Amino acid sequence: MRVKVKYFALLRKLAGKREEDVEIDEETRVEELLEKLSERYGERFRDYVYGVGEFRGLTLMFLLNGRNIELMDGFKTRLRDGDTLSILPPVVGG
Amino acid sequence: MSLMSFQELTQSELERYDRQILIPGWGLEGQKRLKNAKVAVVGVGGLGCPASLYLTAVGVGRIRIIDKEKFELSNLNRQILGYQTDLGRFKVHVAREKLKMLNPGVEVEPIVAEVTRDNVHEVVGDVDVVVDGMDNWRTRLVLNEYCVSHGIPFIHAAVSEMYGQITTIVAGNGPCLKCIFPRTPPEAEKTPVLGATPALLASLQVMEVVKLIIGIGEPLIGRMLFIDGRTMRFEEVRVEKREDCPVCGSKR
Repeated sequence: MRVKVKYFALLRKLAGKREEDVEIDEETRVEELLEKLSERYGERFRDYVYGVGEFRGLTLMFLLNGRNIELMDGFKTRLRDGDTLSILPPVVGG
Repeated sequence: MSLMSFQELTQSELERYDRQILIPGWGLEGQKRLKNAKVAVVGVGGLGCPASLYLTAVGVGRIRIIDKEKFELSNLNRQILGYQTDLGRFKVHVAREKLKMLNPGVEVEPIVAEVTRDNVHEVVGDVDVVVDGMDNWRTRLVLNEYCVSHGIPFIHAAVSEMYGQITTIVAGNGPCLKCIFPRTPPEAEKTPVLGATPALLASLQVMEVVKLIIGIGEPLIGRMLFIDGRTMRFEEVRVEKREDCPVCGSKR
């Protein structure tokens, strides 16, 4: 099956694109997809996505079809064919 | 907006607002609606300074500006109502002076306060729209709750570096902030920011305010527009309402 991933902010640079369709197995969880993408784009991508290492303390927002994955099973949320996962940076200032 | 006090436009106002009255769908009726509207700008910072300037220029009748801080030197790269000579003065007092100089016909109500759950009724009060000029999530979520429970449209925006996000919250029509951010996002002590970024977002906020008051166009409800100034790309993300949202859900 296939899902769409939309990148924002630094992820666009790390992935070198704004969005992509990714081929994954049925029942794949968000964390498994992120793992697959981290293998593709490297350590810095992984650190950024999980808020570790150089990016310790960073908390990104993951919207699956417009809903925050925290409302589902977080990183354990299972993906379905045709899903769109948007990964956004925290923006707080005014 | 009470009908009793509905005010007509003066000759000078017809001239002042001529170029916007010409916008299709705006007209005299739209301008009168603005004149009789009341908007609160909460936070007179990078977003709130340009937002209140454009709300004043466009002729919103009454603007309530709320901020507890005084101007500091590190504010001046983005909080454009504050000049060098205003350092140490309350932002809302400085803002009121300048806004009145720009457009004396607009009533500007300055309030030195920090919005909290306890005082939000009094401080924000009965307005037609609330503009988010805050720099923290704690207060944004208080405003969100207040606006949802009173049916007041709330124009959320936030910025960082050359990034920004904006969405319009109208209770019942789309998600509220709590639907989108179920857990309070991390706060930041000092946000890096290029002043033009909040100015851009504030312009978008004012466009949303004006559209809602006049009743033209399509508001940014159920969509969050994400602005990436580094690559100069604007993209919207769908945001969904939660039926079980503790703030706006029908199945609370």
